Amino acid sequence: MTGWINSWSPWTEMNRLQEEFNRLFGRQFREVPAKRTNIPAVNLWQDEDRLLLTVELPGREVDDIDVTVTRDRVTIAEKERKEEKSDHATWLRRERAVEPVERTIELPVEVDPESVQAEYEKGILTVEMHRPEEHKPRKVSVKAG
Amino acid sequence: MTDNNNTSKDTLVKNKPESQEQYPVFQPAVDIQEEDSTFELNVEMPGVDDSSVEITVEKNRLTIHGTVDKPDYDGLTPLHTEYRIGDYERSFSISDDIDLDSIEATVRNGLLTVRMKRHQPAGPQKVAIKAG
Repeated sequence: MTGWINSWSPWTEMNRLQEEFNRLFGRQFREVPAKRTNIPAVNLWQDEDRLLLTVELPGREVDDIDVTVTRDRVTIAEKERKEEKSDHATWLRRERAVEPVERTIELPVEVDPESVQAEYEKGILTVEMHRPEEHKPRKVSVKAG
Repeated sequence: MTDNNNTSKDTLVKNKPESQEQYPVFQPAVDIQEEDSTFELNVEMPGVDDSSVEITVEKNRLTIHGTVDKPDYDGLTPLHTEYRIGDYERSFSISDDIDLDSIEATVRNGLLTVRMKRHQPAGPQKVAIKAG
């Protein structure tokens, strides 16, 4: 019992909270400025037949980007980023994110994973996904009563 | 080399008055490295290729402008938008000793790379002395 009293300290509790906080938000809070995250911004477009996902990934090589599509989610992942500075050079300014990107996006509608096309051009990744036939919106004709 | 502003794609510089759809102009993120007497700038400009970048130097001021092909996803409507599409512009002050003729630029996969060199310092010169 004495041992328990000795081992308790408000700092232990604080440290535990801090650890919990770091675990939850660690990645975002360690990186300064906040822009330096490895979660890329995406835009999603749609029409009746398809969904189009676009991601800005400037300066990558097409082989370094992996796109995985299931019926209801897309994962964009990048292999390790290469150091773009030679050993003897010094940084005068460094604003570009250095971490490899990774993000999984849940899709608002189901897609057919077999009919996905991905393209990387001018630093923009475009993933085109088609909706399965059975999920496409159908027009219902209304009969006169 | 110094930069006139802080940056991020979130920083809205201005809206182009001449464009009908009011596309924003962003300040692109940049990395600058120096090695010996060479500077290299890497500027993130997704959506830009080598035909749509303009680099001008006017009185120690190097300005980069990139015009983005506005995507036309025929018939598609935005469902979820996290980033905006616009052009890029950013200026840098460069020192007097930069050799303007050495400036060269390439664009690859939406990344603009600009290289420039300092003038090589002139070595000691021998002055011939004429006999009087």
